[in-house]
Amino acid sequence: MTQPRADVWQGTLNLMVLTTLDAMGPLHGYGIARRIEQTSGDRLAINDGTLYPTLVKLEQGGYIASRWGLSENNRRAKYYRLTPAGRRRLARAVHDWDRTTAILAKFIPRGEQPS
Amino acid sequence: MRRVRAWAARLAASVRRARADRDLADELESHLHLLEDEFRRRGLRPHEAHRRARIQLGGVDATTERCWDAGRLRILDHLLRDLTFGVRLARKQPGFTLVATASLAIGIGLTSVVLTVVDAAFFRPLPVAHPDQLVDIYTNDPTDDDPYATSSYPDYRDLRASNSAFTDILAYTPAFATLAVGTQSRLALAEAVSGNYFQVLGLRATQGRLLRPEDDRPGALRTVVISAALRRAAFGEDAAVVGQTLHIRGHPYTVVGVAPRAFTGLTPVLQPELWVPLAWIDEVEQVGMQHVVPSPGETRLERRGQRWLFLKGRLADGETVTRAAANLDGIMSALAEAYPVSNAGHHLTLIRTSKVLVLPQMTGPLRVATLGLILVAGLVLVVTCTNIAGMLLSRGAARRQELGLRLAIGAGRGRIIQQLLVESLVLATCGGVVGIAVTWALSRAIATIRPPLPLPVTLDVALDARAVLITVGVSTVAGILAGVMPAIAGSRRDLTVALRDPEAPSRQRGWNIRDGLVTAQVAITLLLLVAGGLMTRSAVSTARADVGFDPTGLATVSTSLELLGYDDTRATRFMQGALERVRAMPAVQSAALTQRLPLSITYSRDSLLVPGRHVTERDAVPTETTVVSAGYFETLGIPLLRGRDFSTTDTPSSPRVAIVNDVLARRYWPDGDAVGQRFRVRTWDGPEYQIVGVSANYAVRYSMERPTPYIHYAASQRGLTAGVIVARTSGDVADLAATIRRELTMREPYLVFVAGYSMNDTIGATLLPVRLAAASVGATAVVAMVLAAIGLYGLIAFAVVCRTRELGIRRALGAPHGAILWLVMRHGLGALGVGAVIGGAAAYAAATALSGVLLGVKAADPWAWVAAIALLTATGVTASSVPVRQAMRLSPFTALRVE
Repeated sequence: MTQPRADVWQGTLNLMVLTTLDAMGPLHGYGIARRIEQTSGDRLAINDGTLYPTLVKLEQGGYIASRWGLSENNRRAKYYRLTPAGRRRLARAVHDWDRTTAILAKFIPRGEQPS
Repeated sequence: MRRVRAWAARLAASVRRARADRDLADELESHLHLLEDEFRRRGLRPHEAHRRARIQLGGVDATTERCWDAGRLRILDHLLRDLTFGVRLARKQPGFTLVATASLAIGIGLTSVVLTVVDAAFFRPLPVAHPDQLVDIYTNDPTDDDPYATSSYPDYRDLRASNSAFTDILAYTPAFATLAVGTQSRLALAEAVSGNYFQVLGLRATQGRLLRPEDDRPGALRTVVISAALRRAAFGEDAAVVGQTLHIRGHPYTVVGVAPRAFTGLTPVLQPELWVPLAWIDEVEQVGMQHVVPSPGETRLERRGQRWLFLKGRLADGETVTRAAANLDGIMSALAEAYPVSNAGHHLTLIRTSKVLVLPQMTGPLRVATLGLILVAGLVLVVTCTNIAGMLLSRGAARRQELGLRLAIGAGRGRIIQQLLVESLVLATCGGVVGIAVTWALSRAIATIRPPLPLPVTLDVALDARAVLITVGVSTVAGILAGVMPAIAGSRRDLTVALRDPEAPSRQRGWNIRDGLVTAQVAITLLLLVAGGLMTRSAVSTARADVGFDPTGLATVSTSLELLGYDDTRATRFMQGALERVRAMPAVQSAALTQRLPLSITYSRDSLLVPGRHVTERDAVPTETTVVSAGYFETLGIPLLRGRDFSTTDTPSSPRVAIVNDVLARRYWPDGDAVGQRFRVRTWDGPEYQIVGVSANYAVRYSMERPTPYIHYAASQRGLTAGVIVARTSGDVADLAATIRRELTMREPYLVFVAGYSMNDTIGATLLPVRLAAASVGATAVVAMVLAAIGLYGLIAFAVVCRTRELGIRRALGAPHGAILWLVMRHGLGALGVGAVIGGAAAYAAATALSGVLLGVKAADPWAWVAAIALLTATGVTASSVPVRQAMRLSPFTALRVE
């Protein structure tokens, strides 16, 4: 708790879940939460529970699919994986994200990167 | 596509909530376990690991709830929940639900039945192929300045042959047919139609075939198409009728097919039972408009100046009415040049069939009348809805705390409005279901009304899918109309006020729209009650009135020989022979012939010229006349005051004689005896009659009329082609009439009988309008009374709810019952009193204006007024008794124990 934690931007959680699944392959909710935590360097303040509404929505949209399986330490867990539609959605989202950040980058003065 | 899938998934999730719930719970639990494992791995004690795992996940319940919000069709789910709640609420308050349902059923039923009748009568498109392509074609009638008159057959043939705008044109006319299937002969409505009629309409037979052009040629076999209704009535539902024979005026016609059930001819409102080719027009009695200019030709099919046909054309593809009109105008101009005598000054008017209501001349007035009807029905619906809104408002006020609490714990205003609207829609649905029953009953009742006409005429107002759709629409509108105001009021965001001070709405003081509305309802109720009472009294006293003769024990048999093509001599001979046979029957005390029965709708007048009284022919006085045989006065029981009855010595060759009634004799010969005096009819060169007798006055046109001058001519001198046999018996009247009918049918099998069996039937038929008016005004009054009662109830109940706390304090401080009563009733009594005064004044004005129509009853008839005021008072007491009792029973403790 030494560093101030940033709130999750609305809508970016979708992207994080999709990239995580893309990078890691099938993963359960707990795993996704840990991975996001690691990737952000513990700088994101999310309850693990926050993840679930996002998962439900993505699954109903057909971007991810789920099935029950066994975790490494032999616990029953629900595993999520990207569907082809999810992959397309991710590609589009990444493209949009790049464009947005590229545009925004032109507005933000260079040199002093916020740490 | 994706969105659709997402929706489908959500919908499925909504339905499978229980299973999905378990799945999610399992998943969250597995997550917790994984977290715990991790924390334990980091060296935390089990208890601490468990705690930290829960913190990291966040609340399980909150997460579940959020997942649901994310995943489900929220609106649908809420709707389902509101619906369940609405139904439960409706069941928990059966009194409220019952009153609301009944009131809504009346409003919805009345509105729907009006819309259904209007729709059935005027707006349903003809059940033919592409009805939008059909165009009505009318020839003008220059003598009458009427652009929408009928056309002649030769004109029709030329228009049909030469035009280029229509694929084809059909012609038809309504007609009476003397129809015999088997042995019984009766009058039936037919359409005489051109051979291409069914082809132009694009109809297919349900059995056999329809008429074709070759059926409508001179020398063709007599063929006929019958309606589905006639097949059912005459042959049976599933009978094979093709090839069967029926008789029209004694000629055998072969049935070639049955018309589609939905098709009831082109004659609006009426429903023909058969279609005969125009070639046989002389074997039926053409009815309807006809205008004649002398023109050569033997038959009406040949005479160009005789105009009696309705024409409809089917526009060719891409043609417009305007272009078609120009095309036909050209043809008509050529015809006017070729046949100036019959066609000069005649031109055509074209109008799309779909734009015509019944007849073009009637379209305008009918639109207005229809609009008026719909407005009245709409008004009833609005009053109903306002009443329900009033009831919902007072319930909303009572539920203020419940709603306030829901708002306080975070329910959106939209959610509350939605919930309240769903509740009112639940009520409207109950009302709609009962309303459909009401609509059904009312339309059945309307269908059974038989106008006093000589043939069966019914309005086709069967309750079909369209009618049910109308009812559903009306119910939904009613539900929203009634619910929207209370819903908005109930969802106001002044939560703290609602929670702290549940009597917030009691700040309302003075009069508002609701009071005005209830006042108006009370006024209308009293007006209708008085009008209904007066009409009922009038109907009763008219029915009991002395008509100047004794109608009981008189059998009547009416027939027309003209329809069978009899000439005067033959008809007279037949009628005289029939009279002798009837007189010989043992049950008959006396019998006579007459051209018309007293109090029947038959109409006959001559202009009377009396020497010494009248100077020019323009002074001639239109006077009611009839033709009767000897024994007429004796049979009816009308005293002959002076002179003699007709006798066998009055023959066509003897001087013309007449018997007049007392009022006519006194009017023209006030000082002396009318017997022996002479008068002429029509002109000074017209026939001269000598008066041989004076009868007592009796009712001629309707009972309780002012004595009408009446002339009786002798049947033995004038002849009768249409006539009535009256016979007095001490036995059963209907039996005797049936015996006489059988006797006559034996001598002329195709004889057609008209109307009832007895004098009392005839009187009943003339009383029908009065009785119908009394019944419908009475029924409307009852409806208005129920609505006013509900309005009053809502008003008083609202006052009680708003003042619960105040009433409690007053009770606690020892206020007497009277004071409490006054407080609660003040508004209601005000509305009742003011409404009664206004309604009473309006009713008295209306009664005075109607005194000419209201026979046998005065405007200030005590019975009608006392009954109306008693009913209104009873209504007021009933409506207020429930909420008032509630107020009186309020214990100060309950009332004051607020939060």
